[in-house]
Formats: sequence, structure tokens, C-alpha cells
Amino acid sequence: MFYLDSSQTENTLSVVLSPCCSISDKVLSITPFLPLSAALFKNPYLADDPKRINTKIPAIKSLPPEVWENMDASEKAERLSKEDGYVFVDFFVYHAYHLFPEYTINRKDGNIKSKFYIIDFRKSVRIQCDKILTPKYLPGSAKVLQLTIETRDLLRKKIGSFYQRIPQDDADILIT
Amino acid sequence: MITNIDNQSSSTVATGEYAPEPFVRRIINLGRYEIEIRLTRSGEFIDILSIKAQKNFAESVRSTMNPTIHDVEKYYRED
Repeated sequence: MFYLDSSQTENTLSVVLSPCCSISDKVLSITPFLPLSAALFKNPYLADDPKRINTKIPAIKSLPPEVWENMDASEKAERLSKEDGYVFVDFFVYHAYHLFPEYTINRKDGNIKSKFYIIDFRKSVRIQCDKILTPKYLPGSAKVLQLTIETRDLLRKKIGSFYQRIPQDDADILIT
Repeated sequence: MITNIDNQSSSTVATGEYAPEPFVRRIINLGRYEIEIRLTRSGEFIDILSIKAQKNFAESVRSTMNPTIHDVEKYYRED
């Protein structure tokens, strides 16, 4: 679900991060749409489809080919022994859509025009509004789009992993 | 008694011949535990022989608790 930012500044689109069953009490968590980083395009696998960061991917695809070529053998072996996992766990990519403003990604190898957007879970903010009562009673005119059920499931899983990470110190205590 | 043993030997296996156990042992890894069970040769459950913590259980718990993440950010820093 997307909301127009009432300030109408550069980032006019935001994503509602509150789970629908938690939309109540006049409060909502949102996070702004951001352009894709040029760095993502260093990896042809991600450049081919940036949405791949939304799912778990094989270790071999997680880095650009030239990084593997120059990597220390022990680090390479350790990385390749891992099962499929997320890259950029703080982020989630939204597929290009005709309503989204097009922007330019500046790269050494040539600029790219894109309508793909990304959100950063760390940049979520809380808004308060008297009109936010339930998922059905919201400032309806602000809603412009809604994720498919399948993509919403990917978002739930990835943001779940974002919060699920356990620091080593905590893990050591929890297992003893 | 001696006759009896001789009779048993001739009716089952010869001295020194390998006699397989009538059951098989299986180890099942369940979370942080290792469970050893006995099954008949046809695969039917007989009993549990032992339950013990895995030697590397700390590592297995960590991997269960933490989602798999490829730590790649340092290789994508923009020039």
C-alpha cells in the first residue's frame, strides 16, 4: 500500500509498514520510496532484476563475478558453504510501475533510467492522524496502490528477517 | 547343556560366522538433540536407545535462530 506524502517534496511516495491488523489508534508506520543505488548494478544478477534482493538467493549470486575472482580462498569457501540467504537485509525493492516517477541512476558504465524503487526498513517513521482508525477507515485518497498477496508475503518474510537477527552475544546467552 | 549348545549352533549359525543383529540403529537429529532409536529390519520402530545434545548444538541453535544472510555490503560500496 502506498501513500502520497502530503509535503509533496522530492519523495512523494511512501509505503505503509504497519501490518493491516495493527492499523488503528490514529497511528501508522511508513517509510519513503528511495531510488535504487548504482552500487546494486555492480552485480549483473541483481541488475538483471533488482527484485531479487527481496528473496533468498544462492551465495554464488550474492556478489559480482569479479569479487569472487579476487577473494581469499577461505572466505570464498565459507561464503559458498552457506545456504540461500538474503542480501541487503535492510531493503526491499518495488517493481517499476507507470505511476512512479522515472529517475536516472548515474553510473560509470552509463546512466540508467528506472522506475524501480527501494525502501529501507531503518528509515521508517511514525505518523499520527485522526483519520487513521482501521484499515478500512483511512485517508482513502492517499492510497494509490497495493502489493499483490505474493509480494506482500515476500515483504513480511524479509522484514521479519530484518528484526529476527540475533547478535552473537545474545545468541551465546540464549543457548546456554 | 553341551548337546543343547551344539544343537543350537547347527540350527542357526556356525561358530565365527557373522550373525547380524535383528534390528538396526538410527540416529535422528532433532533441533539441538540427537536421538538414537532401534528399528526392526523391516523398519518398524522398537524403542529409543538414547537422547543427547549434539556436539555442535550451539552452532545449530545459532543457525536456527538467525536467518541466513549474505553479508555483502562492503563489496558494493559506491566508488
